[in-house]
Amino acid sequence: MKINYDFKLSQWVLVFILAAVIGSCDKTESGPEGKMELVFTPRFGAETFNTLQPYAYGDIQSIKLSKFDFYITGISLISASGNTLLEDAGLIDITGSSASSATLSLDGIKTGNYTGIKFSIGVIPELNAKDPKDFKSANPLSSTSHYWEAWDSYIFSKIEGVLDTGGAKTYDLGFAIHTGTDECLATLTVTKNFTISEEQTTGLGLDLDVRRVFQENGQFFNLPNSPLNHNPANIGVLKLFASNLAQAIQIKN
Amino acid sequence: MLPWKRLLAGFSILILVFGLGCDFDPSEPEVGDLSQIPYSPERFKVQVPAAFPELEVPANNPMTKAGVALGRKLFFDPILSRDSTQSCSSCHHPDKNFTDGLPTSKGVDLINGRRSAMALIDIAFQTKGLFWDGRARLLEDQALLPVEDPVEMHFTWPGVIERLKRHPEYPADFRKAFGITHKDSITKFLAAKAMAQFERTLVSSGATRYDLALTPGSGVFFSESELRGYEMYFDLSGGRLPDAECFHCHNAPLFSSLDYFNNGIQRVVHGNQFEDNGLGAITGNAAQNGMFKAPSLRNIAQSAPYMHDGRIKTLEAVIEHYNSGGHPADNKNPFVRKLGLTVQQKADLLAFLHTLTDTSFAQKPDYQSPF
Repeated sequence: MKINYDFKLSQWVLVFILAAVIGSCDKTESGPEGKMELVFTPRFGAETFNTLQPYAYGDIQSIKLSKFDFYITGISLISASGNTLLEDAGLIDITGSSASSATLSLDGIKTGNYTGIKFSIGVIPELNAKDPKDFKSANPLSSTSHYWEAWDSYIFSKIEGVLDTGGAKTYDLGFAIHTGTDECLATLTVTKNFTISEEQTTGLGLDLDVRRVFQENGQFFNLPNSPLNHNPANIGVLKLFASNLAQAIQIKN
Repeated sequence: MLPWKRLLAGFSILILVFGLGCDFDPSEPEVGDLSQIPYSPERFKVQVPAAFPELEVPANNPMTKAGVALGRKLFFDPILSRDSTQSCSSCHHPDKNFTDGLPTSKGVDLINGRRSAMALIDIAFQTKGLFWDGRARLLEDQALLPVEDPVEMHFTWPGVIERLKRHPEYPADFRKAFGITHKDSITKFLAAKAMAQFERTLVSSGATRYDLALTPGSGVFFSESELRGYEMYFDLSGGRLPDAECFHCHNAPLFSSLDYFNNGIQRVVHGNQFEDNGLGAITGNAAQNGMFKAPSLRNIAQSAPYMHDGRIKTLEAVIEHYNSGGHPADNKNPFVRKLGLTVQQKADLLAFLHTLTDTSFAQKPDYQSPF
């Protein structure tokens, strides 16, 4: 068979030299690594949470949630020797499947003992300054569905559903709360000892009380008064829900 | 030595030299052997507008000129269908924004499918699933399905492959595209890869009135009506105009958020069941019943009729549907609600949608049939 000499000899020499150089480079010694999974298990108060399942919303009303997702970014693992900032970003969607929890997998974590984890609910400013086209499709920050041109910001969380306003189970009110802009960033620190072992996966269970997210001054937030909240003009409502979401997440015992 | 002996010796040496150098293989090249055809793939680079995301290409299907050319041929060739009457382009015409202008498409048996042929403009950027219900992950996966769909091409891939192998040109085309050395290496996967390569070239220019109006120095400006429509579309008026809520599902730059939504066009049949459950039928998640892909609105004025089953005939009627708030459902997107738009505001929104028309897209010679 005739060999097709596409490369000149000089080009092959260059390839070999480059390969030798690259191959002789000292690889960065990152040490042994393991994985971690953050497992968010939602509930609605004392009840198991399921998408589109009705839950009491005050004395008369009831609510069904069709969409509940939020970004977590700026993830740091806390240890005695300091914090390790991960580059991962996650879009936690508790309504995206019929699974009972939503999991974020974190790879390439140095083995060792850790005392906690810190993360932001929302998109940290350095990432919020970018936009979806800056990220590859596998990165959750590539989602144009979670970007708001008018705000020049990501949509940090989306909470959508229907409310039965009169108690007749007619679910007559659609609602949406979309938080965003740097003002709505909330940071959460979870204290728990855990160990990352080489090539093992360590799970960290987090409890998410969806009912808690809808609280305002000890009562359910008045959705009929303000059903659509996705505008900086509603920043007070957005900050309330952003803060509530952070408080609704606890370490799972 | 006598001169004639020298001549004879020299001639004998020449015969010996050439004889040893010759490949005295008396047999004919094996039938189907493609190895004699040169394989020197040349990379194909797609021009992508600066405002668009990166065009991602699977590592196992890099784009080459020969691959794109083969994919284009297959896309327009009815060889893929049982009776050789239908090609991909039968339902995805270049001059109809790569759809067909019908509510639902007819296959070779003249049976109507249940869904509208999707427009393929910028299809390469649909990274969250293909088809109205997201059942194909990549273009390479999608291209496999219509051949064997009984309401589409109603054929078999083994049948297609046999035709391709017997064809006077395709074996060589596959060689040039994928480097195979024998026609028996032609597979449905290579055919799908080639078509995917062609489809990845279907990228709009990014030079619509909308794009240019947002480009400083372009000299193109929105009319007053288009500007009002733009402001309502993206809720940029600061409350001066109604929020038409469009961008939630059809966000820039692709004018598709790539996701799936229930936009209220179907009535609930019972509980959370719809006549067509869309995404929910694929995922098995009843909460996603009635949800469909929000397609790109680029060239939307050229893609009538509208919705997953083509039930809405005009853009005016689409706007009126959204203005009306659609049919209730637990998982209907909350931004599909009564908007209260005036006649003028609806006209403004329509004017803005027309600014998304890329008149050059359908005219590109590289997108036309090569036959």
